[in-house]
Amino acid sequence: MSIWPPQWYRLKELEAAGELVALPLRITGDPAHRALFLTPELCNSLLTKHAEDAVTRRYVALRARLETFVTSEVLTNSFLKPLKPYRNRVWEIVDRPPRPSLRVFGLFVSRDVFLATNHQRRSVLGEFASPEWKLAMRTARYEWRRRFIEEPMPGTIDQVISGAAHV
Amino acid sequence: MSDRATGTIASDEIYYFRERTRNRCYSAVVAAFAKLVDQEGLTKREIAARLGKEPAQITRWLSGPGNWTLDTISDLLLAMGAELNQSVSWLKDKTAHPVAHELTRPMPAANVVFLGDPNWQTSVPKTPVPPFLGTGYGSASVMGRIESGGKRHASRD
Repeated sequence: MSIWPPQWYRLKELEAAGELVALPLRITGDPAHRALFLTPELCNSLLTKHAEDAVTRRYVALRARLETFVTSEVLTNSFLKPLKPYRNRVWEIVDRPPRPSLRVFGLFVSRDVFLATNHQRRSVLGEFASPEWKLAMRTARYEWRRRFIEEPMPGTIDQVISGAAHV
Repeated sequence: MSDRATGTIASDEIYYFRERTRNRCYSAVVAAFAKLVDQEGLTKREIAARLGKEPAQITRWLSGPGNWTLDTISDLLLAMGAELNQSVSWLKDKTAHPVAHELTRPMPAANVVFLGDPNWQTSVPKTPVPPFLGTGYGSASVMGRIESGGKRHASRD
């Protein structure tokens, strides 16, 4: 067992305090190539049964998509994208159909360890660099700073995850 | 299959498994594509030409599994000279996968250990873990607030 970087201990501490939740894999026995942590708010959206079946189904689909981050050996640059300005180190996980298309925002704790902070419907975000986009990115940074002193991991997709594929 | 589930499967369970299957097929096909790109320099344009489609269509397909059908999978694999393995595994038989991110394993003790202390393995203070954390990665092994982490960020609490 290797020595953990300090932010992993912080991550586990936050998890134990209920300030972060590891995405629970629905099927026992799936491989875990990476780790994905969620804010409790995002986790609630994923796991709660919503009043409308269509909403519940949409979040079920999102959960399956997020599990892909953990279980898939290969992830493409269309699944995970860095957002400009890159100095913010905010990424989006893209979840297109079924409609509505969703975006999950977050930052990397370390290579292959992602903290998903917030999400938004693509239709609400509008054109890139709109006030809604900026708000989503600010929220991601805010959620990060609430929890970590360290800056998120910088880098390209090849640097922040293993098994990156360019399609 | 004497212990197979009985009764109606919840609709969100059905929906989850559809999406899961779609994502797993997508991952398998994209992994195959990435391998050919790396090893043989395959391009989306070549795949498009083989299938008589526009390159933009291939780009859309490879960008996500949202609209994939069995035909999509079949077309892409054929263009790559590949096919899916036809095997089924039983969910009930799945056990812990050998591939596990380190954060899914028990956390290494972070407190000071004195050499020669015969009780060092039990000297880490343990606090109860909230029950809902039991489903997370390695949560069952979370030992509560770790000494080093807690001190390090004590000023923020």
